[in-house]
Formats: sequence, C-alpha cells, structure tokens
Amino acid sequence: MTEKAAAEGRGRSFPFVRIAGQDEMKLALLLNVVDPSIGGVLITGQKGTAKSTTVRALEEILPERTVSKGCQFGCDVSNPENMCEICRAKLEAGTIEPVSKSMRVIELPLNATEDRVSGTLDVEYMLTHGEKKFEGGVLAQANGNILYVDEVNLLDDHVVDLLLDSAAMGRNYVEREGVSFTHPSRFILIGTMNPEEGSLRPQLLDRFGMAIEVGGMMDRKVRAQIVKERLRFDSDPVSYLESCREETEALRQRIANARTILGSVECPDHIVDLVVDISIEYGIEGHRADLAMMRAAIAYAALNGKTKVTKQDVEDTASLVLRHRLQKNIFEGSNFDNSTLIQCIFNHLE
Amino acid sequence: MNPRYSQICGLEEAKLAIQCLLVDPDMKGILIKGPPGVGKSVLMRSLVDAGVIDEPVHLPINADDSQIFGALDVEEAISTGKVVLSDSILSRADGHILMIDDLNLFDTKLMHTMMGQIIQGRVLVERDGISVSYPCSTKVVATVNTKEMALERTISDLFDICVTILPSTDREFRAEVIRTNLSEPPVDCNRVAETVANAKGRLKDVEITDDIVDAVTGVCTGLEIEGVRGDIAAVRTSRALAALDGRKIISREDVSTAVVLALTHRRIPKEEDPEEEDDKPKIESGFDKYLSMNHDREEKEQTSEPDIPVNLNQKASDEREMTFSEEISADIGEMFEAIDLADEIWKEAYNDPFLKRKMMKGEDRNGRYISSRNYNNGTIAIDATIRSSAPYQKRRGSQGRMDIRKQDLREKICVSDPKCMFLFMVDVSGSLVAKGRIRYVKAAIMAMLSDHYVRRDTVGIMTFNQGHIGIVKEPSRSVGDVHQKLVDMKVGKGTPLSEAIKFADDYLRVYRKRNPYDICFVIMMTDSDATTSMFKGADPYEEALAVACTVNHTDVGWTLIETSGLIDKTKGRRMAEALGARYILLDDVKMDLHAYEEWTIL
Repeated sequence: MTEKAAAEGRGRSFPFVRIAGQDEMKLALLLNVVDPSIGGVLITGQKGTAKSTTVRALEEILPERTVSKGCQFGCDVSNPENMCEICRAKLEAGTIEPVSKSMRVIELPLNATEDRVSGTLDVEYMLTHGEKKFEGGVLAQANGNILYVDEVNLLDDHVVDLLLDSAAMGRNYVEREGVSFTHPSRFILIGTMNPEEGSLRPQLLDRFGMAIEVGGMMDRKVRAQIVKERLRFDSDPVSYLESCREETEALRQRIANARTILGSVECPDHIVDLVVDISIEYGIEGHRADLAMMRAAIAYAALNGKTKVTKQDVEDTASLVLRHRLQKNIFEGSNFDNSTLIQCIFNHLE
Repeated sequence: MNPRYSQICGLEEAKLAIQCLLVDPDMKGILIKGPPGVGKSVLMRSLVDAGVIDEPVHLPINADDSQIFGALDVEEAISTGKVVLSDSILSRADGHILMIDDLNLFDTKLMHTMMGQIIQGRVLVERDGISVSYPCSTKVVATVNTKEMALERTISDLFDICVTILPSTDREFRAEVIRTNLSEPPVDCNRVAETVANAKGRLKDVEITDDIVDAVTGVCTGLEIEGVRGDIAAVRTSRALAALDGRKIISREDVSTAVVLALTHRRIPKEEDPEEEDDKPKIESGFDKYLSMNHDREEKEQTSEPDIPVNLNQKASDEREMTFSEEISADIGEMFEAIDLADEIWKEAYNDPFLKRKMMKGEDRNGRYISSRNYNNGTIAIDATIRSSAPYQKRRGSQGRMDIRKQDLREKICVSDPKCMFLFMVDVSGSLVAKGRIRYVKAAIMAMLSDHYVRRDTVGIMTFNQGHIGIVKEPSRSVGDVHQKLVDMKVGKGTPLSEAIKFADDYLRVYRKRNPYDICFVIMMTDSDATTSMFKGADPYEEALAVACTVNHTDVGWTLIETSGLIDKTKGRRMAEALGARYILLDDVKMDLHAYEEWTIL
C-alpha cells in the first residue's frame, strides 16, 4: 500500500454493503432515508456493535437532493412552505438557483454548546461591521440531512429540548443573544445509546419513529469474518471501497428509486385498518405510532420496488416502530412480544 | 406536511375553545394539554393555514429574556449613539398570536413574568440603561405535554381556558387520521375565520345575566376554586360560545362547556378519603363532593329555598327543582370524571407523582445562558458586552470596527436545572433478614426510585454488612438495572455502622469534587443496631454516633429511614440527631410518595 492510498482512504467510512449482520438496524436506517417523515431511529446496544460505523457508512449511499444554491441552510427548492427568508425572497424574485447536493450525516457532539446547536450572532461580523448577522449552527447544517447523536442519552437536557423543538416544528427559531432568526430544520434524527449509562427522557424516546436493539454477534464464524473484513479495509481503504463500488452504487440507486415512487405507492384501506388494529391491540396512545408504522410499511414497499402495500410489508416493519413504545415499567427493558402482532396479521382479512 | 384545520377530526372541543379565545378580546390564553402524539401542535399550526390567525410569533424554548422583552438596539446605538429599545418577541406579538410548544419545559419565573405582562397588556423593560414600556395585545396558545413535568399551578392559573385532548381508541377515527396524513392537503376552504369574525361582532349583544354569574360562582365555590380568575374566564367563555353559535342568550349548555374549559386546570382533584364507603366510584371528581355537600345544605335550608329566577331550559322535577348551578354541575361531573380518569392513568403509567417540588435553579457554567452581569472572570457574554459598549461607539470615534473596552465586558449567568444525587445507603445485615423486613426496604427503594427517574435525578446505591461495604451501583441516571441489583443484594451478618457512615461520607467528598453542581442527599436505611466497631473494644453504637457527628451535613442532606420494627426507637432517633438527618419510619415511606416528596424538599 502506498502512502498516498492510505492518505486518501483516511476518514472514509467502512462501506454499508459490507457490514455483516445487524439487518434490523440497516433496514431501519434505509427506511428512514427513503421516507424521512418516519421520524428517525434510536439504536440501543453495547459498545462495539457497529452502531456508529453503520450510521457513518450511510453517507456513501445517501441520495441527492435539490437545494437552493449558496444557502447555508440548504433549503429544499421544491418546498416553498419551509424555506429561510433569503430563499423565499429569491423564489419570489425568480432568482433561486437549484443545485444538486448529496444528503449528509451531520454529527452533534455531546459537548456542543447551546449557541453552536441553534446558531448565534456572528461576532466577527458584528465587531467589524456594527451590524447583526446570524451564523447557523448544527441545526442549520442538519436541515434536509441526517442528524446523528452518539450517546444521545448523555446529552444535556437543555440541548435535548432544542432538538425536540426543531423536530416538532421542522424549523429552528432563534431568539437569543440579540438575534431573532428562523430557518428550516427538518432532519432525520439518529441516536445511539448504551442503556447502562442512563436512560432516555420519555419525551425524547417518543419522538423517535423507530427504535432497535442491537446485540453482540455471538456466531464465531461471522465474528471472524467481521474482523477479517475490517482488517482488510483498514490496510487499504481505497481498493476495499473500490471492490464493492458496484454494490454500493446499486443500493444507492435502489434508494433513489424508492424515493421517487414513494408518493405513488398505493395503500389500501384494509391495510390502514390493520395498522390501527395493531396499535390498539398493543394499547398505544396517540397517533405517532400509527403514522410511523404506516409510513414504514409504505417505505418498505417502495424500497422493494412495489407500488402497493401488503400485509407482509406491515409485518416486516411493525416491530421497528412498536418496541420502544411498549415500555411500561421503567425498571425493565422493552417487553415487546410479537405474538400480538402475528395474531393481528393472522386475523386480518384482505 | 401539516394537515389542514378542516381535516383535523375529533378535536372539536379544542377547536371550539380556540375560537372562544379569539372571539373575546379580553381572553389572553389557552392551554392545550395532552399526551404526546394526539395532535396538539398539529392543531396549533393548522390555525395559520386556516387563516384563523395570521403570522403567529413563536416562542422558542431557549429564548432569553432580552429577546422576549427587548433590550438595547445595538445597531441603532452604534450608528447614532442613541439608546433605543430593540424589537422583541412581545413587541412583534402585539396584535398577533404567541405560540408556545411544551410550556411545561420553560422556566417558571420567566413564564410568570411574561404572562403577567401579557395579561396587563403592557410590557415594562428596565435594563441596559433603558426604562420604557410598550403596549402588547396578544393571545397565547400553548401546549402542555402530560408526559413531562407537571406545569406549575401558578402558571396554569394565568391561562383563561384549558382543553385536554384524550387519546382515542376509536378504530375508525385513528384510521382516518392516518389517511389524512398520507394524503396531499387540499386547499382549505373552511369558514372558521368568518365564524370567528362574526361572533366577535356579536359578542357585545350577548347578555350576561345575574343568573349566569350566580351559576358560575356557585359551581366555583362548590369546587373550592381559589381565586376568581376561573369564574371570570367561565363567564367570558359562556358568552363567547353563545356568540359563536349566533345566539344572544347564553344557554345552560354554554355554561356547562365553559365551566369545564375554565376550571379543568384550576380544580384540585380531591384525594379519596379512606373512611368513605368502598362502593364509591374509584375516581371521585370534586364535583361529586360538591353535589353531596350542596344537598346537605339544601336540606338544612329547606324553608328558604333559594329564589333564583331561572328561565332557561329548566327541567321540572317531581321532588324538588334543581338550581341552575346544580344542573350545570350535573352536566360537568361526567366531563371532569373523564379528565380525572385520564390524569390518573397518565400518572400510573409514567409514575409521575404531582411534581410539587420547586425547580431549584443552580448556577452552572454548562447550563442555559439566561442573563449577564459585570465581568468577573466568568465566560464572556458577547452579546451583552456588545450592547454595553454600543452607545459609546460614536463617542469613542470607532470607524466601522467596534471599540470595546475593559469596562464594557459582561459575563454570562448560566443556570441549569439542578442535578440531585441520591445515595441510598442500605443496611443488609442479618437482623433485617431475620425479621423479614428486607422486602419492605426493597419495595420502598423501588417506589422512591420511580419518583427520581421522573425527575431525572442521579441515583446510586451502597450496601453494608460485616462482609462488605461498597457501592453496588455507581450514581447514574439509569434505573434500568436497579431491580436486578436489589434482587442480587447479598445479605450478611453484622452491622459495621460507623465504618459505613465514614465510607459514605468519604465517597461523597470525592463525588462532590467531580460534580460540584450536584445537590447531594443520602438516604440511609438501617435499624441502627451497630454490632461491629472500627476500633477494637469500642462500643459499636457509640462509635457510630461519634462518626455521625463528623459527617458533612452542610452540603449533603441526610435522611435516616428506620427499618427496625421495635417499639423502642431511641437508637434510631439519636443516630438521626447526630447525623443532622430527618428521621422517618419505613412504614411511613413504603409507598407514600407524597410524604417522601415533602422531606426531600430542601
């Protein structure tokens, strides 16, 4: 391996398509990329179970989106309802320029201060020009992208409040330190946590559309395979990535297609009824679970290139949405039992 | 995409309540309460699309007080040297609606000040060398998430009306909600904006008769509502309801609906009296008591039947005529019962005892930046520094670049919700097991932990007996594995009480160094029956008393829970005295979280 190759490979993520096992986590992530309105994923598990690796690997397969050129918030040109003031003015004047940009994974470090999360006064500009200017923070970068919070359970409560606020409104409202500003901030929230280090606030838990638990790989053969693959990647990332370029490109294409057909996937009434039945059987309050379950099934159908949702789609995705909403007792983990789900699906007539 | 107002089904009561708020110019606020995901925020946002309200102003969770009330206009100060108030949230909200999502997460003091000023209709600013007041006529639409911390009563009382959205289990309805959310929102063509405008014009024609006022005050006193804000809001709401329906006369239904809207958040649900008969309904609403109480009074005053000239839809009864206010009470009883029941379920499901504890605010560098003061080696508050220097820029002759001097510097005042650390110090000696009381100890710990979990406290557990003194669970906010830890708790002979107290005191000294902002408590559960001493030959109990006198009780709150079942409690009492601890009997704690609450308050 040459020095140059090593330098090029540095900072690259392990390819998504070569991550062994963890099918549930991969599926949950893909469905959210296909339909961001599902509401994000919470990944729970011990250290070293490829949580972060998988999330970072998403970057390679994320689709393109059309944004307004030069906008620090990456306003989506097709959605005039949720734009920053500058882009809206441009849109009205007809000077908005669409450019294609790849979706990204934006990381929120745990020690991020409030001003860096929500954005703040551009101090340098203020001092040199005597005028106010807003400088966007993490929530600005996250618009239209994936916001990844490692160890989300350790995040300070007041930062969590900011995330919740933006997630609920789809916009970030800044009213502090002399700045009054608002910009779109619609993102896919992906959090990972190790439950031993503290639990998650119930309100934040409910905001996640999906939650999955990843366990360690207990199959010796698979473990050996993982170690070997990783070593191969580390020794020469560039050629390793090259070796699976076709697969990566195929997956990327599959996601892009799914996003295109998503709006036209047909969802028969009896499927909607099924979703409601499942929710009610599990005793879930509120409509968030219903909506997330429905959207997940639709996204799953789209990902498989289908144009009509079936019972099978609901069956394959429902557990992703339900698990974290069934935790009644704080002292126990999730007590998700899929027999109710199977029963509902079995009873359901097409 | 947010669903349109007309598409939102099933929230009729909430929709009506919001219309009432808009119709009466003197009504200032509405609370929309409910568990997450029932459509509180969706409804709030749909109002804008429907044209019911235009250009609402949002209050973000981290808004600071200078933005809410206004501060020095820096740009103006720099360019002209004049001291002028800047634009603020409240000045922008004048003539518009102010929207607050998750009101219960906001700072109580800040909300109190803000709502006070909104109700007055004027904002008073005294800061940065500015002293001005400006008019602010706005209405507040706020949501409250019942899964989070309870809203302080002093805040909720400032809102005229409150609607509770209950989760639905109706299959058809829920399916409809899904379909609505999946479909493209149509162009909204509902007439709600028009209805509101018409009702506004009609409002002054609706007569508020004395009967109406009497009926409302009758219900309010019956429910033992403190203060008259509720009464006034109920009367106003009745009038708005009549106006919305195009009538000039207020009907009994109007009053019933209005009373529920105006009193839900002001009523204190009565605790059940254990001495009452068992066949009473499980959830008793304040209304029932009111009704029975009224009956007693009526019976006594049979001769002087109240002479209320009620001429509205009054039903004749064979036995005796119900008064207007009784009829209303009868109407509202059921509605309150549903709300109480929901409240009860929420409390059970999330183990959320009414969080009466005042949120203590601690200064903390990592906390939320709320205000500024003169610089004293803290973190520089850039915005405040710029503001303080801005008026002098012209005089200092700065050209373009700002000239900031030492005397301009300001530092941040940051506060955070205090983190409380509770160290449970559990005596697992043989005497406890022999008497079978360990089970109660565990149950009490579990009950207390549920409470701490809701409040996001840090909890650690240490145990002691002759064989082992140590931390079995390092302090953390996780309670997930506690149950197992309690089950696994090894029980041994002997009680090295003195050594255990010393261990806890040393442990806390180190902990406080690492977490200087935490407020620490020790909950010691023991029968004070010391059997082992550190020094050979010393009396174990006397030694423990001596050690107890030396612990840090200025920064750490100690509590001793007596686990012994003996009649003679002198040992425990003396030990608590030496520790400077509160002394509680295990039997008093067991499940009674309210008692527990009281003594964990500083």
